[in-house]
Amino acid sequence: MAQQSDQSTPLQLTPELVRRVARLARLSVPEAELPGVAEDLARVLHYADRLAALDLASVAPLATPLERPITLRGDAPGPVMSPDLVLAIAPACFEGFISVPPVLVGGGEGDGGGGA
Amino acid sequence: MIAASAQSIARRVAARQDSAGAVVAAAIERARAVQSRTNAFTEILPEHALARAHALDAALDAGAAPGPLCGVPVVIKDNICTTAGHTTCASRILAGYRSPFDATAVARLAAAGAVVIAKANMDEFGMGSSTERSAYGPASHPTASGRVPGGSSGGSAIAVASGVVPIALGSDTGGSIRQPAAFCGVVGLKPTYGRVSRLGLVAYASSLDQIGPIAGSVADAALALRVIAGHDPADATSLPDAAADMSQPLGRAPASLRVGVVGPEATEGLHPGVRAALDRAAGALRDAGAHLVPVQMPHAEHAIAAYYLIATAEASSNLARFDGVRFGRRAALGPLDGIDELYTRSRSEGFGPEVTRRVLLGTFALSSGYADQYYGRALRARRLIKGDYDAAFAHGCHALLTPVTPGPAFMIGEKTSDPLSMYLQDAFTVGVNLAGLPALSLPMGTTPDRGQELPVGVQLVGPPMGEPALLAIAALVENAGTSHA
Repeated sequence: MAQQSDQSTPLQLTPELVRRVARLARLSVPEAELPGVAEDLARVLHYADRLAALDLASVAPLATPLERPITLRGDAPGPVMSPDLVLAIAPACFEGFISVPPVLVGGGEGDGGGGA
Repeated sequence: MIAASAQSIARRVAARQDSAGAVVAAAIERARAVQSRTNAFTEILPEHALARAHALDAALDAGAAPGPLCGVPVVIKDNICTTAGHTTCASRILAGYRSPFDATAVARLAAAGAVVIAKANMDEFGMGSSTERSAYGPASHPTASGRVPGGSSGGSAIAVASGVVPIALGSDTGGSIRQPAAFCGVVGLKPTYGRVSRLGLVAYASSLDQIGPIAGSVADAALALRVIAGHDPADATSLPDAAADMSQPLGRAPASLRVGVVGPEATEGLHPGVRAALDRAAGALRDAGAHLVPVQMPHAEHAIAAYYLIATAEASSNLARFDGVRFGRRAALGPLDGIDELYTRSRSEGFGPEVTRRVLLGTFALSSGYADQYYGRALRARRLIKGDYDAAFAHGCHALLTPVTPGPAFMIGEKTSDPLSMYLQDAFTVGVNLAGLPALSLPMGTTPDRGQELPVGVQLVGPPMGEPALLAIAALVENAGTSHA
């Protein structure tokens, strides 16, 4: 994201910034709701800014509470879901495949499947 | 009204004094009655449950060995996968979804003889503290009209508090088992991170989520945990020794019991009924011979801020899977729309407002230019918060006694317009998830509030893998809420 934050000033969470975050999250926020969403997020982020009071310079991040390394299971094939089961829970299928609309709009000739 | 205990149901069914079919049929009848008052369930499963109960009866009649939950009806939160019925996380985006597999915890319950009778209502994807944020509509407190049951495992707590079942499964990412248990007057146990497999728990925040039981008694919570705990090779965060010390239903409380209590500055602003509940619990612990010692939690005030950045960051990643392609809801598209419209419309139509808000918050906290300031800072604060707990237990505390919530159940609609005020309800519970610790919400009587009498609970927090001692300590003071009231 191009817009950088200045840690010395409160974050200005503009509707434009919310629109850009929504785009990253593949969500659409109606124009009329943008100011309200921006205000809600800004209040939470303003509250979160209290973490700036902590001296964290020498503190390592903690991403998981596990105190031991995770153990991966053996790299051996196990049972797999049948294609029928996978297709049964897919929202749109075509001749044994999950169908999606064109990935390159205007480029492909896919069946679409978007109306399912 | 609490149902007959799971232990007594299983004993009677095993001895053929009751049939599983009759027990389950009665539970379904109660579920239907409770549903009409509280909207506790996303789905009641009479056909599945009765077929399963009759199969159990036939097996027992043929000489099969009874499991420890033989014929016990149970309810499963709707974000835990079951092949019976649907698994929707109370979200429009998973409307109609049927899981092709059972969560490991559900499979373990079934192997022990339990019968799933219903899926429980919840805040969508676990994102809420009131069970008001559900695509199925809000759930209501089981005894106090107009109040929330707590959340996000509100339906599970209602099911136990209303006597539908003795045990229900919930999930706890920041207090979602303990808070509704406290609001509804039942026992809620959030296990150590890694104690119970997360396979089949639809992920909200993977480093915080844990499945656990809500039960009518400490003994039933212990029994349920004993059944569902254990290593699962299919969950890389499942601890290899997850079941190692769970062989006894209830252990003995440690000799020379030391329980840490936080200072008064940490409990400023508490509802007087919560403060009185803490006093009752402390008195009962003293009566049982415990030595109460003051503990310092200097970073606890930062837990909410760290939690809501980490949880939403993880949620924004986990919920990326709901894209309308492989499962769940797909939006209707026009002929010229492409994959990007599919993603965006499916998600925007499928997620409710609170899920949308949290995904946006998490996406922002992880975005380039802000990740260090928000997500990175929260992870560093998390280490300090965990360090507070580590220090308390290193000084010899077997458990910590804290509030579960600042007050009793609030009114429906009271906090929905102010997300931050809702988040602050979790001040006493989220630190436990950040640190991966076990914690138990224990009913401790009732308190008057605005003309209604409401349950209150207290929280006991243990060190990693400290559930046996935690449950034993809880059993010591389990009746203090009524005997000292």
